[in-house]
Amino acid sequence: MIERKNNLYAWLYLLPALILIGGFFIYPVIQTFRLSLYSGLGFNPTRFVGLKNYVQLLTNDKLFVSWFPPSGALFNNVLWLLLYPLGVVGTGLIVAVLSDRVKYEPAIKAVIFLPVMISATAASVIFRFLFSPNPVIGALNAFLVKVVPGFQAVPWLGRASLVNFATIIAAVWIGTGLSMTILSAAYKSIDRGILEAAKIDGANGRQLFWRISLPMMANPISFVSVTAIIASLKVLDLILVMTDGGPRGKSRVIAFTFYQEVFRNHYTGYGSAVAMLMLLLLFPLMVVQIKRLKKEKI
Amino acid sequence: MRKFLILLAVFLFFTQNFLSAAGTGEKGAKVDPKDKYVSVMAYWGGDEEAGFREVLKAFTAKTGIPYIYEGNRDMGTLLNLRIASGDPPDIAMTSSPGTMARYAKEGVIKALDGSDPILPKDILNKNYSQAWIDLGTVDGKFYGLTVKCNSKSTFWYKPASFKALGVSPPDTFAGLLEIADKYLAAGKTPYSIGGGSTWTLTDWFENIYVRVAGPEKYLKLFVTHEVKWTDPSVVKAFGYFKEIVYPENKLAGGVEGTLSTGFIDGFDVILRKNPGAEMYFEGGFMSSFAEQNFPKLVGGKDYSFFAFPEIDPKWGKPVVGGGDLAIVFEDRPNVRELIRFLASKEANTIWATAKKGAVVSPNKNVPLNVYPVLKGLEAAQVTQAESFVFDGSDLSPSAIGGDAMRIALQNFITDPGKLNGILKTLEAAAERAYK
Amino acid sequence: MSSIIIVKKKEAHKVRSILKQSYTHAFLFFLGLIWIIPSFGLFVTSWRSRAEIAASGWWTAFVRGKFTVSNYAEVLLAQGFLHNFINSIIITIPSVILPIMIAGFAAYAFECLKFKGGNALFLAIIALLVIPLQTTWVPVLRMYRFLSLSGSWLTIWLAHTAYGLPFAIFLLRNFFADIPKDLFSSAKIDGCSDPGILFRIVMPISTPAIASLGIFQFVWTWNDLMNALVFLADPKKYPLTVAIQNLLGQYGSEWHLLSAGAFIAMFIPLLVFFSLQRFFVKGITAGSIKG
Repeated sequence: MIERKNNLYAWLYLLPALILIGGFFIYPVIQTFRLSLYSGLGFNPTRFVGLKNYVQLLTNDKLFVSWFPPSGALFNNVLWLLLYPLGVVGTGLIVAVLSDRVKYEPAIKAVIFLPVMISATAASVIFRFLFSPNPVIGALNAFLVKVVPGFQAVPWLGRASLVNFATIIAAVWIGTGLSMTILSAAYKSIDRGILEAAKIDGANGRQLFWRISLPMMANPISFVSVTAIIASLKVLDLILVMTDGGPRGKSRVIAFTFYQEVFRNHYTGYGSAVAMLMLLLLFPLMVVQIKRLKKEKI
Repeated sequence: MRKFLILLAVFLFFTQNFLSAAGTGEKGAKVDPKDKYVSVMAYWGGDEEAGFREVLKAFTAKTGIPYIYEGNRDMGTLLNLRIASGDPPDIAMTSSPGTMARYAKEGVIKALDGSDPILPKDILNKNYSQAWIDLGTVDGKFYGLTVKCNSKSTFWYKPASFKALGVSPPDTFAGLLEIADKYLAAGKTPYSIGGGSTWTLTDWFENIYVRVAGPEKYLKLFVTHEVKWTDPSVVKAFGYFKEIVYPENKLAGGVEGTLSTGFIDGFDVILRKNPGAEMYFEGGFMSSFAEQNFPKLVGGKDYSFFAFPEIDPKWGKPVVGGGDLAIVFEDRPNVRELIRFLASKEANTIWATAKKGAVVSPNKNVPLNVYPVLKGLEAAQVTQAESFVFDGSDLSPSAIGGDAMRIALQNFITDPGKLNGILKTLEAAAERAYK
Repeated sequence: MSSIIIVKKKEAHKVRSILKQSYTHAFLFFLGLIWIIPSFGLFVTSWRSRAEIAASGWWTAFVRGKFTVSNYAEVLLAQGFLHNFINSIIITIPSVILPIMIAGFAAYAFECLKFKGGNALFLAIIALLVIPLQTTWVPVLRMYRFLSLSGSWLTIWLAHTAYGLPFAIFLLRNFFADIPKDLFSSAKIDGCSDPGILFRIVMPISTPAIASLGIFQFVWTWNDLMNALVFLADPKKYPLTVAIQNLLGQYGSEWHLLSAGAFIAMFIPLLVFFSLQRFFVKGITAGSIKG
């Protein structure tokens, strides 16, 4: 009796959430899939083409993907997927562990965390400024010219071979604070007794870190990594504002391609195929996250 | 719980009220605000915007109808979003007849010459020559009123620098190349290109192409795509472009620097105290940016322009021009008022003589002598051109002129050796876009 | 003799650890510099005139000592950032309150009224965290148009609310799980209804959770560019982020305006951060997986 009443109320309380989720997640994803099978200009493409958009995207769109040698938005995103998590987890871990030993821990953490608070738009302005090749604007080039003899100002965002690294660095600058906070909490929750015992057994600092601290932080590290991977697959606004995909389209990523095709080139069907492909790539991560949550017994 | 909901309701109520007040900027605006003002969207900012605002202010002073101006350089994207959400501005200023044609075919914009015309024929014919009327016409119906135009065949230089080098503005392409070599020999960099704003590269190509292949083929390449991008004439035009950009020490910052310099920065490069280069090519509208950024320099004296030089005597010096067309999404009495005002001699004269951001008017009743110095030169170039072609990238579908063609040009100046592959890719994109 | 050796060993150890410590200090100091310089440079620039910016790098500003507030005045008034600032507030406040309310009910249903299929549904909702929002934009735009919502504030409020829900439900449920359940049963015996329990017992106990969730949602909506760009069909409703993007698109190099504009946009989040820092850490470590 109580259970059935509970059931009824539960669904009642869930109703607003479910309506919104249905309207903003479920229905749109289905619609986007449908759109991805159509071709034509504008937001109501009418010509049914089956999977042609996907074929075109994967075999005949060099800006999206060129398989040999690997380049294009897809592979740029792979670079993001490798370097961004490495950057935020690596730096976050180092700061978490090192700052634990110093008195000014809150200050250094606050400094690292600040960029998390600001918008990607503001961060893009900051980095366009920092990376500028103009000798009175770009501090990085000005510094290097002064310090390294014979150094020529480098257009960090204007050179195809550098632009992805430059944008990833900006993203790491933004995102490290978040991973640092989680990893720091995990580090602090490690039982000090175990560390002390190992010290007495003659383990040095490095061994302590690699053999004890790190394995004990395996869970939070993998959590932060998966989160970072998801974020790297979704990145858009930073690139839109910082480079607009350039130079020569060399900093485009999957999400940028979607934006370009749908909103600028008016290929809604084609762009929808890009979005679906992105969803497909994210799907395994979805499974990983859910498995982890299930294990944690929520 | 109830308390909270009441609080929320009160809050929402207040924000809503506050909004409508903050929104229109009008006191006691109780009528549906949409019926009151006219909203205009364009891509102009800075002085360009200031000039247009003078026109809008005059409109409000005359009719009492308030306006909203929205400027965004990425206007094309924004306009698409607004149309998709069913809430476009009343009037938009597009520089792309191609986009206008698409909207006309989709039925989202209103013909101006319907049975109860938004812009009566006699007003139009009295003020505009046939060429501008044709530009705004799609399938026999008139949709786009050109409100301003500009030359994109203006090559900027510094008279003092030319004098020091002992040269005068070149008449032919060969002459231009000679000057570049002389600058190099004198230890100076000849050109600055704002290739970071990638449309500057399309302007380069269009000027070269129309001089190589003539206006007719030009239109076939951009509008109807009867001429393919792999056509020998295209290859030839790219060859001329290569002579400008290679060896790359002719460019301020080399190819890389070019690709990371915006179109305003590119002009600043030749105007600043320790200039990075001596010549800059981009449209007549650049003068307004020079006035903004270098108020001490005098237009026509410290910097001026010559016509983009001739390549093939057969075609002479056609003017590649741009223009902005007003297209109408909502037909309301107030919108009609504004469109009719924009077509009038009065509005066009205000704009042509604006203190900041004066423009060349397509209105044939605006006399040449009203313009400021450089604008007058530009107006003369536009009105007296042997032939005038509209900016090709704006005539083509946005997937070409706004994307594929720009990428192709950037790739070309980075690696001219790959021209064949680049043109094949571009042609493939064009085949999709013109389908 | 042996004691001397021991002392020496100890001293050597001390020296080594001091050395090690100084490496740590140097490294952290260096890292801190890397993190602070980019924003600091732009901050300094925002107080310099256009001519000063064009003439010399910001690193020389302290020697030259010429500062001005005119950039801020110009951006706020002439460029209309004041209006955008107000818009950002209008967008943000309901976008923070609504998801907390709706997620509160949902999380309560999941955690406190164990019902059939609840866990599976909960996992399904969490899975939505992974969905790229791009996938949803075009259909949602069409839906708004169908419902004639376009152009109103509701578009952005609803979008932020819906997009924020999976994370909010996740976070709140995790917090609710820690509340001892006998509290509910005794309240129920006292005749308290479910909303009563939620608002009188569960929510107050979870204040820290709600605070951190609120801050998160605030930061996300305040800093959001894409959703505002896509959904807000009215230029008079644009928030600061769109205003900056616009400024960047128009000029690209008007640093005196861009720098001041960026700092106006950053001001409130930084204020929130410094005043409510402790809630943050709590919220993040409770598991932040919104993308």
